[in-house]
Amino acid sequence: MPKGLLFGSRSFDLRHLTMLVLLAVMLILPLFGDAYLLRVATRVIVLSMVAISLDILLGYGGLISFGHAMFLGSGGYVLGVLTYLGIGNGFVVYPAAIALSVVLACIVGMIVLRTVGVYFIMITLAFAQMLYYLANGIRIGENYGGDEGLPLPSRTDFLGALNFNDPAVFHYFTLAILVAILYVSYKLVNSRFGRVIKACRDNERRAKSLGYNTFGYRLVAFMISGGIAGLAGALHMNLQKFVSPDELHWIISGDLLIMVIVGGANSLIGPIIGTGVFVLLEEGISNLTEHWMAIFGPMLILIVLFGRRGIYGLIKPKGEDG
Amino acid sequence: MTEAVLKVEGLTKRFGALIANEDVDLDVQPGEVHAVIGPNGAGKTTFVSQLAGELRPDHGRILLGGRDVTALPVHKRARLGLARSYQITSVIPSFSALENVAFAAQAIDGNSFKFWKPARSVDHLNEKAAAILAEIGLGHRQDILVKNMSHGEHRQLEIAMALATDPKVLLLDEPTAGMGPAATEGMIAFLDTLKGRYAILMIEHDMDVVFSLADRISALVNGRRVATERPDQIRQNAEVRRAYLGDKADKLNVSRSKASPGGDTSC
Ligand SMILES: Nc1ncnc2c1ncn2[C@@H]1O[C@H](COP(=O)(O)OP(=O)(O)OP(=O)(O)O)[C@@H](O)[C@H]1O
Ligand SMILES: [Mg+2]
Repeated sequence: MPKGLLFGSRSFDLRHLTMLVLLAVMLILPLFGDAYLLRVATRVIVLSMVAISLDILLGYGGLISFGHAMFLGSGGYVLGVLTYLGIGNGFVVYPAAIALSVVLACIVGMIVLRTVGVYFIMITLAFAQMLYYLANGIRIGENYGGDEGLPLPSRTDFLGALNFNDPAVFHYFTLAILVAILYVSYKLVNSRFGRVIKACRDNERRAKSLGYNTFGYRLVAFMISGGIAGLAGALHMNLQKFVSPDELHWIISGDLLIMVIVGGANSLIGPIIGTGVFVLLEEGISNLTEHWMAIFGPMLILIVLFGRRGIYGLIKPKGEDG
Repeated sequence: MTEAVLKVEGLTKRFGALIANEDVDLDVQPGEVHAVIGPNGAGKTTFVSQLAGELRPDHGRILLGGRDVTALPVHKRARLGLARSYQITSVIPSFSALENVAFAAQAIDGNSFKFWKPARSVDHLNEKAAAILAEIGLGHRQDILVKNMSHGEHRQLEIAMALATDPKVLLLDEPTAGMGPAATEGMIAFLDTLKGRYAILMIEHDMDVVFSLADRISALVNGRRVATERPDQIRQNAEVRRAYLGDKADKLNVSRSKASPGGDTSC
């Protein structure tokens, strides 16, 4: 990719450096052969995708979705259930996971996008909780599903091309997908479509009076976001080899919001950094103490109070708005 | 008379017990500037909001080019050529001046389900926006973020955005609200260049603006239209004089008057 392409500015700055360092770390990590570290890193990559998809709504669209974990769940469950049904071909289950998540986003979006502000937050939350209970009802035979969750019965196979049982292969695969998502999202938020989404965030009334069907544009944004998150949900299932209703719990939706806000909403790098920080702290502090949220909570408040654009706000060049 | 571009019949709007508009009939002819005057709280903005579709009337019909648009949502009316500027400036604060106008131009350039090409490099939108900004006198400010622009510039940008949608009818809600005398002169001169090119419904407190531009003037008092006259006749209208007792009665007679009082000039 040409320099400056991804960040819209001509010169190399702290953001580019951060991204390059992160990319380098992610590329080198599998070489150390530390299974635990690699797993954490892959988890950061997969959750980053969800955080980016959430930020398309939150940072660019001004839509605070408090139910984004529903797509993490929909992607995971599609993969799980199809695999139980004997469909383990990645070229089938992955598109299916994305498609179902897009359909889910369409249905949910048609309802939630009729509300704004606090009501939007509440109703997205309500939907996710509804799906949480629905997921509790997904049972396969006597032993699987329900609140126990579904283990992945066999590995997802890409016609022999990729061995997902090799953590390094899976890691590089998710990394490639993340880079692709980053690029597509960059194109999206800067496109004419993205311009409409941003304008709706700033002043929906004006967008309407200029002739924009703001509901339609927001619905499509919601579907795109849901599709990306659904893809990540399927990858998450492959990583954990397990999916349970907990994946859709509102706490996960809250964690995702925290990742975006801590990293810096309305940027594409912010959510990645936020996810990295969140997962590392979660792993790091929770190894020290059970009550890790008591430590993380105040840190979070400090970050939001002092870095108005999260961590991204600290590394972006002064005066730049994007 | 030719067929009105915009025709309003029996428009009534209540807010609880308050009757904001009562049985208002009004029309705008092709190329005409029809000004609506009236004291604060007379129901002028309420009237415009119903025309634009942001408020639903309790009774009455709105015809745009002969078509009944009373039930259409805001964006569909806009696509039929109804453009509005706001009394309280309403722009996209995180965009530059150019991008605000390009965004307006984009609204009529097919749909915006265009996901790949950077919006900033769509030349025909940028060129159209730049031309309109130059025409309105903001050419040198096009790259400034609107949150860093002055109030007067915001007022100009409001109009530029409305124009970029190639409207048939312009609804201007106090285009000079809160502007100083010099800026008001500039705005009058600019609006004068629009005369004849668009059908314009203009709400205005500033009598200089009204008398410089209007072909017809309607007065709204307590939600009722009490008069529609040519400018040289409105001063003689008894109902209007009664409504404008005191300082405003003088305003109707003198040619030089101060800008409208505040209270609606924030942005
Ligand atoms: N959404 C609303 N709910 C209740 N009352 C309203 C609403 N909007 C306006 N009003 C009331 O309706 C009346 C007409 O208001 P409107 O804003 O249309 O007046 P206006 O003629 O535009 O006044 P101004 O010259 O101050 O701009 C006022 O008494 C106002 O308080
Ligand atoms: Mg008003």
